[in-house]
Amino acid sequence: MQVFKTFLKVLKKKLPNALIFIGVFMAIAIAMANSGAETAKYEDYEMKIGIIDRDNSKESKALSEFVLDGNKPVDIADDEDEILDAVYYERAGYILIIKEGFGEKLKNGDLNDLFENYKLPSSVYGTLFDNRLDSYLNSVGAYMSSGLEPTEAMSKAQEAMNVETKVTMKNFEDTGNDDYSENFSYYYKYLAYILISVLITALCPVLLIMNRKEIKARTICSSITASSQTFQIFLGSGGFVLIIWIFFAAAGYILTDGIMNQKVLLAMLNSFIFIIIAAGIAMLIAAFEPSSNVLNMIANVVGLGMSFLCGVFVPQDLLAEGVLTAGKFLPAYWYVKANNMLAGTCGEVFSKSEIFKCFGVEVLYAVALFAVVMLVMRVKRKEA
Amino acid sequence: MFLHTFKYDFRQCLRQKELTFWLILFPIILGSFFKVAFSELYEKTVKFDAVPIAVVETEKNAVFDQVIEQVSTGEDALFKVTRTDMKNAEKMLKDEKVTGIISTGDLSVEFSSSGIDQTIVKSFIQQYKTQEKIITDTATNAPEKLDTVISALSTDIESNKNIPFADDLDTTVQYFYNLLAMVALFGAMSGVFVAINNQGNLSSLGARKCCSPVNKLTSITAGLSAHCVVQTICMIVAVSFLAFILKIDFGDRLGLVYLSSIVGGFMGVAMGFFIGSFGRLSEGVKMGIIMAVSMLSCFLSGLMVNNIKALVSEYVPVFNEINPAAVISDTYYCLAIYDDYSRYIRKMITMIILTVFFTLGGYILTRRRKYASL
Amino acid sequence: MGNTIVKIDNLVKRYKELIALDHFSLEIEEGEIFGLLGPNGSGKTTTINCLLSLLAYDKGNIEIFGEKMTPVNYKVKKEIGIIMQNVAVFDELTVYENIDYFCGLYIKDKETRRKYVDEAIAFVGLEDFVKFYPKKLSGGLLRRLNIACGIAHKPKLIILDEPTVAVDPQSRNKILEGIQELNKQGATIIYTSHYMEEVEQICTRIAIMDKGKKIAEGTKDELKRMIKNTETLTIEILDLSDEMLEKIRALNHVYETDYSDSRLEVRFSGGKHNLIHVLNLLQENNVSFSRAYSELPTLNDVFLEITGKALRDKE
Repeated sequence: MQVFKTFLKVLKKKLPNALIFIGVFMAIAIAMANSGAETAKYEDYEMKIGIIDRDNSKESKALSEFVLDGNKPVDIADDEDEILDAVYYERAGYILIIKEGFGEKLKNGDLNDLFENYKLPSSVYGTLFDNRLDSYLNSVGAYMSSGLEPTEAMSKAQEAMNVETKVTMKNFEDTGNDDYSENFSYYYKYLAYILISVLITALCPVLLIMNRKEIKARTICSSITASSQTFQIFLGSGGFVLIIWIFFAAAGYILTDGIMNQKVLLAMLNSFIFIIIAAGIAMLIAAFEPSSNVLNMIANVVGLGMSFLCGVFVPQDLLAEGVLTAGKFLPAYWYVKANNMLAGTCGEVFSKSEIFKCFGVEVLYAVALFAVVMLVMRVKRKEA
Repeated sequence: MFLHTFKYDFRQCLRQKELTFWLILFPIILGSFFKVAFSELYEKTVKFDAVPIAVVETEKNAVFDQVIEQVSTGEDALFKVTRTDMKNAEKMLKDEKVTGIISTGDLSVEFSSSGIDQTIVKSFIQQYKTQEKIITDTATNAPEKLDTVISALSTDIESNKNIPFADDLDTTVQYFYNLLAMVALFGAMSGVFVAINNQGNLSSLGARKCCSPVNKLTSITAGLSAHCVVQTICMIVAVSFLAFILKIDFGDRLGLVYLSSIVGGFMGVAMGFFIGSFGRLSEGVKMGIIMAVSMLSCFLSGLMVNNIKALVSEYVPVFNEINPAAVISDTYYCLAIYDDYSRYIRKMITMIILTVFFTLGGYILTRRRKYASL
Repeated sequence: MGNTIVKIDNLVKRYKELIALDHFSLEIEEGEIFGLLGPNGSGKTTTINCLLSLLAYDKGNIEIFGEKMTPVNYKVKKEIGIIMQNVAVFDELTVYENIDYFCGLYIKDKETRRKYVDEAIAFVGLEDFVKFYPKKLSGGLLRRLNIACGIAHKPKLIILDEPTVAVDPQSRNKILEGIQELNKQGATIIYTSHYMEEVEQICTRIAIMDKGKKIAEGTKDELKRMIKNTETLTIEILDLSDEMLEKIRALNHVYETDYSDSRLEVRFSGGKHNLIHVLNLLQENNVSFSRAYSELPTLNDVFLEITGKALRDKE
């Protein structure tokens, strides 16, 4: 087991470096999981809104009340520079200016040209809020035309806007009721990116040393058979990969308050299969012997590239057809798809058989990757 | 002496072929990936296909039927409706033939997962119920006004005017801006080389240089300049590729985009020099730290998940002001959306201050000329 | 002679608990090839690094060309050429570019520099390799490049720190000849090594170091005179009785005998025709022997006698 022992020694030497990356990516994973969960809820999103009331009437106060219902108020002075800064630095997501004469106009039933607003271009929440405000004013107008006073109409309209719609989530399988929180699903989704990056940056440097020409030549000349060497390197890498996986799985477990059920187990199994794929990718890259400084860039190209094409950062249902078709040829696509099914997001329905189909495809990728790794190692050995 | 050192340092970095190759290739590959991934994203979030839904008649609801009929016909129909019974509807939902089931009785909806389509269905029902309530209220309180109320509900009003302080910008450009920030920060790798190659206790080359009669300041400045030139080449290639091949929207002041990229690259090199000058850590560990710092910096500036920056500005607003990646990507952002220059200039000044800080810090750290051990 | 080029006075250098240099003093005169000899870890490289002001030291004084050596004494630095133990060249620059680069740190004038670089290349015999990158050079050639980088600017003081480690005999001879040639051209040389043969071969004066201390100093003959050994006989004898060994030990001038592995070693202090005396004695007693030879004392013997251990493990 000499090769294995050496692998461990080299690993020990490279551990500070590996720990830096494991630490950083762990931090990124946790931050991503939290931020992801925050964006997911369009409807419950609490937007930071600044109101500049130039009318200062009973009516404008009532309007402010509606606007701030469920949103967070931000103090903004009526000054253009300050407004622009607030929007630019995202201190406020939306700034509504109630124009002078708002109350008067409302009394006269004139609903045009009442407000001005500032918001970040292309802000989803901003557009959602615009729609809500329009719909509210329409309702106010409607109540007024039925003969109500403006303030009365406003409170009625607010009431009407808040009519509840009953939404039920239908689960078609027994385990469907399992708690699979949003944080958890985001954490596991982003793990696709994290695992690839971590393994390329942490495992590759060790493999590169083992592959270094002089060392490899010496090992090849020794009495250990080629297959035994390969086996021992796989064994060493496998142990390291397993530890990394346990680390990230444990972090996920702690992060989500230790929920454990069938869905969580499936998510863990998914990530376990995927880390093997990631290890295969790392070994394949190492087999081509890039210099260690280039490794980080390769890690970024492979990690970020695959993540963007397979719907890790952008939800799969937002990706173009063509991208999705291309994504199917990358293992991360299947990982993310299985995770979406577990979470019931992106229009995917929880179905155990479908999830296992995804797992199957991932396993095929892993097998194929390792076959290629062995092939490349063999070819390189002959070259050496 | 400066020129002599500069000449050879420059040659040296050009000949680190693998590194230079990847520095140039990296934004090209990733940029293309981004472009492909986002190709239809913008349109897709704005334009919808008709959402397939099942309507189950649990109670007769003529008004709702009529409305549903209206929104599910024509060119830009909102829904594709299948009327069926509950059992069949649930089977369709399970088979993903429909997005949701609407019961006509209490107008409740049933989904099996969440997503954009589901949000559309829900907000449609929400709006319907609001209007329904208004009409019922009117019918009880002032039935004679019903017609006016209904027409009032369907009038288009122009109450709210958006003041465009900026050109409308596709949100996905943020990713490309951050990609450029990452390329700039990768200049830090060259910065580390400068530090290591000039320090007697870090490399034998450094020891040799220390023994020569060349002032250390001169030697380091020449090294930094050479690497900055190479970094500038990388930045120009990257910006040109994004702007001209991928047609990313940088606004119409491309010259300033190049300028901020180049300054950003300088900042990257300086950052690497600063970190590389710290302590006696091995080159590998220093590179590791550099990479980790650049990754974190880019992550917090929104390279992977683009609402991170807003989160940061909520909790630690100051950090966005000094996070190198955020500062670089902000300059592009300022150029793309603001007509006035004040914000851009402010960001540029921040960049220059950071660059000077890193460079001076590095100089101070390497100023010591004798080492406790080699 | 007479000009003191390097003066090290009472130098102390500690690495935490380890005392690397223990009140070490040294003076080197102009025109010398000064050998600094000692086993690995004896403090040779530390001395050199302190001398070059790369290392901070705890106590002591260093003067070069009569001036105090500091990291910013560029005037002094300009006249020094160093060849480090580790090869310090740029992998990305060719042989010519490397030499030109380092020479350029000292010599500004382009014409002079070109001439100097060409001379340095000729000097180490790398004419056929000027366009090569260091990675393509063999170990010996790489060492020669390393040397060329250090001496191209024609320094007055050349410091070579184990330049021949891991070098093939051919390159080694070339290097040693080169050093003598440089010396003839007027350079003072400081040469560290743990190969005593090299030091014996070229050095005009030698200091022997052990554990951070100078334990002996002088020309090689002076050093050898410091010890009582004048001759060592080695005779291969298959079987030697203790009685016989006693008889040999009783001979004139013999101060030590050693018999193991069928080899007899006899050490003499003074005396003439010692070999004949011993061989006669053996013949008289009908002891058969195969090979016999006599050796004059080496620096190893000097080291052995002073420290009680060999300079380096027998190869």
